[in-house]
Amino acid sequence: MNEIEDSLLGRCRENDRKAQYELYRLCYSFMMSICIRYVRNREDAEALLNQAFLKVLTRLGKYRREVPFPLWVRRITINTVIDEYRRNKKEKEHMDYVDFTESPDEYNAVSLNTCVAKMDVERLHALIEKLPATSRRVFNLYIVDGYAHKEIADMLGMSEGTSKWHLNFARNKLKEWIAIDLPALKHVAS
Amino acid sequence: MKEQEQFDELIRSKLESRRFTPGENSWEDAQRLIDAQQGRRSRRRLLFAAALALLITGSAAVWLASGKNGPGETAQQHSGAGQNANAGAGNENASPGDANVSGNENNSANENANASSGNESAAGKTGAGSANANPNAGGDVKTAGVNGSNKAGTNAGTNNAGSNAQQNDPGAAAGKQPGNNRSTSGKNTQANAAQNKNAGTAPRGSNGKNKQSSSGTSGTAGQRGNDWATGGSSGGDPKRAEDRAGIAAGTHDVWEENAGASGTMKNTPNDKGAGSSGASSDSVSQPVAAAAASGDPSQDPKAALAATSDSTSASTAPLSTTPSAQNPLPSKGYWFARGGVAYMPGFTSDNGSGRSLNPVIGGGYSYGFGSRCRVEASLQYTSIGNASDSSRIYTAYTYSFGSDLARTEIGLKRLHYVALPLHFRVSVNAKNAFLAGITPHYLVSTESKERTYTQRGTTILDDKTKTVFGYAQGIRSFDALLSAGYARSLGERWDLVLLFNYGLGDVKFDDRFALLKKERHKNLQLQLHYSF
Repeated sequence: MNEIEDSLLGRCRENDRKAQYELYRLCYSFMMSICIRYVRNREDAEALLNQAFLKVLTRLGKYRREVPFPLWVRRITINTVIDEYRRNKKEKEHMDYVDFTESPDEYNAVSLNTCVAKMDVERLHALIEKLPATSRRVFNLYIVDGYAHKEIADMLGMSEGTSKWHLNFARNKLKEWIAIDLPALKHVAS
Repeated sequence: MKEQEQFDELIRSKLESRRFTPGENSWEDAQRLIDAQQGRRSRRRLLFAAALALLITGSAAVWLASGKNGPGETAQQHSGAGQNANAGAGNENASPGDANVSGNENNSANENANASSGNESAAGKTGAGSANANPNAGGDVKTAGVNGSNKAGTNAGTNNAGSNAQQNDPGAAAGKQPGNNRSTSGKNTQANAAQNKNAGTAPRGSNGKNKQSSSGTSGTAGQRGNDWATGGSSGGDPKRAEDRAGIAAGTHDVWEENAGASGTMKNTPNDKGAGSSGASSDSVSQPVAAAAASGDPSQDPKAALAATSDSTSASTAPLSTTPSAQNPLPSKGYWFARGGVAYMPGFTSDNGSGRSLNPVIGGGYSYGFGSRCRVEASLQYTSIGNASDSSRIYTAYTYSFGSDLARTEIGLKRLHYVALPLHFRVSVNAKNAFLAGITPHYLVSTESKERTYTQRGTTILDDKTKTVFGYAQGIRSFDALLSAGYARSLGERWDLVLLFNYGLGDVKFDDRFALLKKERHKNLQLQLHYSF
């Protein structure tokens, strides 16, 4: 992904289908790892990926070499995901907003992190998928994609406070679920 | 806190470490999207090319129409109204009259004939031709008679500077004529519009004859020239002069006085119609006219030059012979109402969804600029009927006690739009016009059929159907259609408009309906257009 050559991009701009396939192959894993975090199944993620890839192709002419290509692709992919979310925004999810402060640290944070490190990525992904959609989106945008609460609030049309609430909610829920897995994980670790 | 950051970091690195490989069909799906995008692009290019071609064709049609109709049309365009052309003629007559200080009434008559063609430039040419052709100050009654009896239409359509010069006995025109003509032709078209109200009613044929009865404007204008000539100084036939003066009537008194006083043409603001513009123009051309007063253009290079230039300008200055010259152009701005039907062939060619006849009704404002172009903005209602297909049926299931299945099916029937057409309209002539523009649409509401029933086993219970509004999920709120069309005038206030519209975007969201078909709003509208 990092070593995409200028010549490949140039051929993609010239609508060379082979070059486009090559680029698709190179970007697929990276883009899919973003898309899959925001939707519930691989088919939807692939549809999003294809839309994002189409945008990458159509905007290649505007791409400047100063920006790392993966970063540029990531931005486009996340924007595609957010656009999709905005389109379907009418389907509001119903959540009970509970007023909670920082959840009690019932479990040892250090051992929790150790377990996460040893945790299977698919299992972790499965746990994240269990989160409510908005909380999952905020969690992904903040923790994985590195957006600030202000940006997330703008993107998702919510207040910064709500964004923070969702992040805390997601974190605590994850910790809670990982804690349930903790004995098994400890066993694996030992 | 550190543990939390570590927790976040661990999650990030875990999630980013996931690796995926494309599925078998992944690239095929992507390719389909790419192809669809390219198809859209080529369609857009095609549409753009079509719009451009339409614009170019329209412009060419306008240009050709202008060219075919000869100089008169241009003159009319320049003056902004058909009336002015005749008014200009009056002025021309006045100018030659001035030139006829030498006493050539015939030349004046000739000028009248030309002037009656409604083209001041033609008069200019005549003057020019006269000056060059015959420096003799004597009038040629026959020539004048010939020209005078010429129908204005003939002069307007066929005479040019050269022919006028030959027909006239131009010696009489003398050196002054060119100067006057030139100046007159330069001014008439602008000045007369406001002043000469009668000009439009002047029959061209009768103008040519310079009969008193033929037309107030042109005939009078012709006399004016004679009056001027007679009153000027030099001689001509006093009787004729008086006669003409009598014909010329009150409006020309001033001319006579001016002529008598100075020997050059100086109008006053009291002059009506042609006279006024002649005045201003003469003031510009006085030096030339005065220099040429000797009646020998050969002695006055300026006059000759002026004559030449007049001839040149005359060749480009047009005569008013088109139908539009008889039909006054519409006022600058007016309100209109329109109504009709729009035939929608369907969203796509492979199913009948959307195929319907729909009403179009609305009104707006039309603003003209130039003599042929208008911009029309309006507000109108339209709809797309028969909008339902299987992809647009929302179904909700509710199970109760594990045996009854309550279902609600919502099928779209009609999409209601408010549209804001903005059209650019170019008139080819008084009857025909082309339109092109854009028509933004806003989805006001949708009309759907809601069916609710309960299914118990194979039995349907409580089956109810009603019409509901507002189920617009998945339908785009905004759309814009490119429009191109043709309008034909059916009378003073009615137009028949045939308009083709093609949507720039999809009516619905693909993702919602899981279709990649491009469902465009397109229709062929037949409208009646009433101007207030």
